[in-house]
Amino acid sequence: MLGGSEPELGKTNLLPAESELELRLGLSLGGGAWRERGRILTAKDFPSVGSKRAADSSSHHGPSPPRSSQVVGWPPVGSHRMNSLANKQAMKAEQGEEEGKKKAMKEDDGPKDVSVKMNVQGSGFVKVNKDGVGIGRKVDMRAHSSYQNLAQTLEEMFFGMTGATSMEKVKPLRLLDGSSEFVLTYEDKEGDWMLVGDVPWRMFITSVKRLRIMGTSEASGLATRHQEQKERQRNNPVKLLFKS
Amino acid sequence: MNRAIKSRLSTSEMNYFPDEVIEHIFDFIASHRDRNSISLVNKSWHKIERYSRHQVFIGNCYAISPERLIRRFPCLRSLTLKGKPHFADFNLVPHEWGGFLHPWIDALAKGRVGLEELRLKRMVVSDESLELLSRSFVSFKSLVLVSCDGFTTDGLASVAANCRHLRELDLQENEIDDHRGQWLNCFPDTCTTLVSLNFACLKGETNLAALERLVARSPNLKSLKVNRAVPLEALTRLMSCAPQLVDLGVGCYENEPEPESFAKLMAAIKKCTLLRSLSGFSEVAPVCLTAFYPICENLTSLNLSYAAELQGNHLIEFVQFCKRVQRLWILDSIGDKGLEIVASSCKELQELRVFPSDPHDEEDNNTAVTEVGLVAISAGCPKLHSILYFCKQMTNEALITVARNCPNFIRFRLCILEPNKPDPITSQSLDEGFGAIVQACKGLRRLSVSGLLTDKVFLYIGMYAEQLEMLSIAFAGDTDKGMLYVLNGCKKLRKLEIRDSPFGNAALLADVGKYETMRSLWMSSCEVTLGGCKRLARNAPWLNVEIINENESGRMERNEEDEREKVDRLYLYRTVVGTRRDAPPCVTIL
Repeated sequence: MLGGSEPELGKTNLLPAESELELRLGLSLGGGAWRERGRILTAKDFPSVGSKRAADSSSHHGPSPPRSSQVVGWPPVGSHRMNSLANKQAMKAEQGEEEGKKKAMKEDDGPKDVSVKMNVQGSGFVKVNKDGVGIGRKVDMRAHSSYQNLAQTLEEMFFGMTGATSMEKVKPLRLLDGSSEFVLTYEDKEGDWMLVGDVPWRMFITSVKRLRIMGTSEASGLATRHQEQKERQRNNPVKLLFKS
Repeated sequence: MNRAIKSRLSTSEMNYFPDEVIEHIFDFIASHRDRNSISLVNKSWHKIERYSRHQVFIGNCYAISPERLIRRFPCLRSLTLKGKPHFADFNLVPHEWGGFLHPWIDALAKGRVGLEELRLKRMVVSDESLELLSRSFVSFKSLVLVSCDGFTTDGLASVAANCRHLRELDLQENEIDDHRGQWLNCFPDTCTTLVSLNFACLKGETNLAALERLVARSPNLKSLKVNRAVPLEALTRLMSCAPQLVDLGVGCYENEPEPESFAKLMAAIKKCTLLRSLSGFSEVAPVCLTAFYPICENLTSLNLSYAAELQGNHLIEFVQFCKRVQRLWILDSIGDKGLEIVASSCKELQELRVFPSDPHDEEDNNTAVTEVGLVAISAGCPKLHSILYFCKQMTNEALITVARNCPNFIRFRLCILEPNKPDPITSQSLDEGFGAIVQACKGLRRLSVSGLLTDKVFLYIGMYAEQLEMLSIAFAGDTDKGMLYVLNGCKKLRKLEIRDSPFGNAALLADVGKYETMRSLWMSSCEVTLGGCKRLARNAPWLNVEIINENESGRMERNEEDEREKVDRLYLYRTVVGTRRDAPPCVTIL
């Protein structure tokens, strides 16, 4: 994948040419129509790569040593334990919000305030909303190592097992295999809504700003809109991979 | 068992004994290292030892093949296998790197090995493997899975259904896809042999009725650890029909238990007079911990490290009465003050682990622990030999005091949360502090260092840490000399793992033979280059030198590699079976 004329990976984070990426992703989808087998690509398709040097410093001996919150795999706490902590912190933050905000908080207003409070530099927490559920949750992206992992956490959060906020009885979401009526989408740094699973996990966690569990009918509209935005995103290798 | 083995004449008197006698003597030698040693004495002993070996420990599943294992130890009954390197716990190893269980089960089944026990750590386990396991080994008794992934509750259902003599099913911190099915129902009514059942890591719902029936028909059940889907009333019923429990992991408690429910729980707990070990509490209202007061004086092991709901004062109130506790795992919300109380109350303490409740310092509260807590513990607990301590800061003076108070450390793992942090009082590196630890603790086998450290700390480690077997280094050192001090000095070193430290090719290549005496070396975000790794691989064909690429999309194209390019992650290990064939595209084996 690394051609002689292409910049090396690592410091600059450039990715291989779009066309190569598209071809590879297309193959892995298996070609079914999205509605029937709308499989969101999982870690199997994009092997998650954990380690990367702190994005802003070329060497840890540079003038500003990495903060604990910016370094992958640090502090060395087992991922199982981290996931458990992350869920609790998200729940606590959620309860804090409920106490602090008025009842009539629109979904769209929420994230702005929340991101000021929780999404400080280096924080991995992003807000998650599910269509039909009034209260959103928060999830720590850094505490997850793959799409599978993330989907599992989200399914637990919104499945209503611990039940503080989700009152409705819902079926298991199965967000990543397309068998449910919901799809997982995210808003990236540029404000566009994308389908989760398009890009390598490592890239995803640096660009995701918030998550939304969307009904499938709405999501197909997302596809059409995104196709139009494709031209604006020459260097952005993210692609939507389903047919509308 | 009668064997017509002609032993060769030798000067050793013991060879005049019949083999059965020698075998009987070997039965008393349990440690696998000792058994490895006696198998090297002579051919006769090697043969006797082979056939009498029932337990085998394999620290790296790629160091040997299942076929060779079975050829050498045909009477194998208990197997321990470890897969991914340790840093996989921190998401530094790609998910699909390797460590697959299936080839092992396949070979063991084909070889008709009478497998009874299987212990796995960081392996990729599939439902198919579990199904095959459950059908292939009639006497299978014990399955322990630690930090594994790749399977679902369907795999557990096979084990439950088919392993007629199952005694132990212990799932620790695995990533299991919970299909919320009925795996607990799959234990047949005839299954009454369970001694240990731990499914605390399962995230889905649990069939409470099936669980209660299972516990009720398991009179030998000593250890039960449930997941968070088991609420207070269910726990009460479970404890009522299993008052013989020695080890209990509790699930989820409601925030405000009814007084009646709470009273019933307390009554059930009081009857569990044999209870010695308590864990779980992952969603617990503080008041519920108080239900365990009646038995807390009996506890020898207490793990509250998942109890993020409990505030420091709740923890302190409980732990101070656990006067017999030997093993304590707790969150840093206990604070330095709390640790001082532990130090004055828990005189039997041998192992302490203090985990961070806020690893990324997001909540801006100041309850994390510092050097004060560690010094207090070292002063108050004379039997302490094992510590894992996550803290905000550490001083040289404190470490020197700790070393003086506790020369008996076997394991010393200190993690200062902020990388490169110096001694806050003197602004110096922590070389002297860690130096004091390795100098005083002559039996130290495992060490993790952190904070601001120069090459000097490694000079000390190389000089003094004679028994050191495992060393973990992060954000430390200045030059290749640091790594060289360790490689040259620590004769018993088996595992070395390094991240984000400026060690390069000179250190890597200085003594290639050293790696034959070690299990493995991990280096990530260091200064080693592709060229250096290639040279190493050429000079040491008995090593697997694996490069894990940042570029996820595929192997490096050979004609476009730049040998001066730094390697992101290097993992090398000795092996007798050469290059493995199951590596994913992101791994290049040189």
